[in-house]
Amino acid sequence: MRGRYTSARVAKSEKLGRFEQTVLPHMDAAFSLARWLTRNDHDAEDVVQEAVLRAYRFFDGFHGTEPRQWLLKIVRNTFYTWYGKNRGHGLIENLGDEALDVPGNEIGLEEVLVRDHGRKALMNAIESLPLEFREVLLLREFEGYSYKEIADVIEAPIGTVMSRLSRARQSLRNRLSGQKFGDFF
Amino acid sequence: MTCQELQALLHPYLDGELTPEQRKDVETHLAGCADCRARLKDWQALHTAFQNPELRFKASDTLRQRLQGGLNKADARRGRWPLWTAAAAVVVVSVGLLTWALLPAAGGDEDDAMVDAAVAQQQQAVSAKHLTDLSSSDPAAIQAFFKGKLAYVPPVHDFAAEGYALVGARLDMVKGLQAAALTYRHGSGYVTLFVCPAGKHPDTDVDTDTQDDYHVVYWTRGGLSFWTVSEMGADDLRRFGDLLRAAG
Repeated sequence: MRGRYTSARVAKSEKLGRFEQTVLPHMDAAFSLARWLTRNDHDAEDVVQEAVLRAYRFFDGFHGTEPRQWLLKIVRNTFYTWYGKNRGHGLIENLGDEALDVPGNEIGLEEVLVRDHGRKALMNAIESLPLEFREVLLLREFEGYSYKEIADVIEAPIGTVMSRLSRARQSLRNRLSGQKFGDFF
Repeated sequence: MTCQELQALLHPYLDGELTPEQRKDVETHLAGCADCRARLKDWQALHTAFQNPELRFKASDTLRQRLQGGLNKADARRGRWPLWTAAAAVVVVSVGLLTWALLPAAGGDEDDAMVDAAVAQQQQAVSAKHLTDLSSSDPAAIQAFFKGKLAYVPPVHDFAAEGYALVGARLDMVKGLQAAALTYRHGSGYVTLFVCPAGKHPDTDVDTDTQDDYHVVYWTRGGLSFWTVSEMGADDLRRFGDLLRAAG
């Protein structure tokens, strides 16, 4: 068995070698994005597996300098394909206007976030955001992407990124310190 | 600047997306407005909370192993076969024949990638609900739409009488190549035909592939490659291909 294993490894293609060096270092970022989008480990792993194999098939066509951004874009697209198939309803979750209409309340975010279970409350609040809000927020806060980079990943105009991001944060704020606050404890 | 005007710039300000002039305006307002400074502080607290590493998920070792296994398998299938496979094929004739049957045909790798790309484009168009840039059942109007956008003129036909009604066209990219995408309605579903330049590739017979619930029927003729992609049954798609090839 050992001999077989060794010779199979020797026969590894140059393409796979390059892929392993360029793309695989970003597996945590890929998984994290998929996990926040799917909201559970099992589906996130399926999405990442599919996305990585897809990335490998497309790898010959990748000549960019941002493999991480390229991979995250594929993870996102793979997620939406999976989501469309598994949810059976349209891809657009209700964006609603609650984010804009709920008047600000007196509890400051800072106060909420430093409380016990503040992290858990934040996680729940992020997960409860509509997908269109969640994804721009994740790319901005976790990846530190500029509006232009986010626009590239989600294939939308920069103006859309800007307005979704503002609304996402407002919505998050309402979830954390608005009437729904109690739901998270 | 009013507080309301500042609100609109607060997030781009925090995200470092403002021009130097805009930044200055925002900072001038903030210096004189305690309410807005408090708001800013609030959003900064949120940003800080996001930096908590416990909010990042990590790929498990199980997932990493699964990925490596999948990649090794894909690599062995596409590239040179591992030496032990060849050895086994020589030793056991029946296994050797089976391996031969599974070997990708010449050009198979390229075709696979193209099938994948065409399906991905179609899925994206479906999920974005953007199947056509131009809605029209008039072949001449569609050819005019592509004129100046593509270096070649794709043949365009309507087969409404045969059950495949031309509904429109879009300009698409498949594997980095500009492609004409023509969409037809068949029953309750759609089929999209991608036409791209085939370079010096010789004409080929019809081939069929399946990917993610989509069937793809494809062939090359006269320097153009044709890729029909649909969720409809493979037989319906082959019939559509026959119509196209008969029309020339």
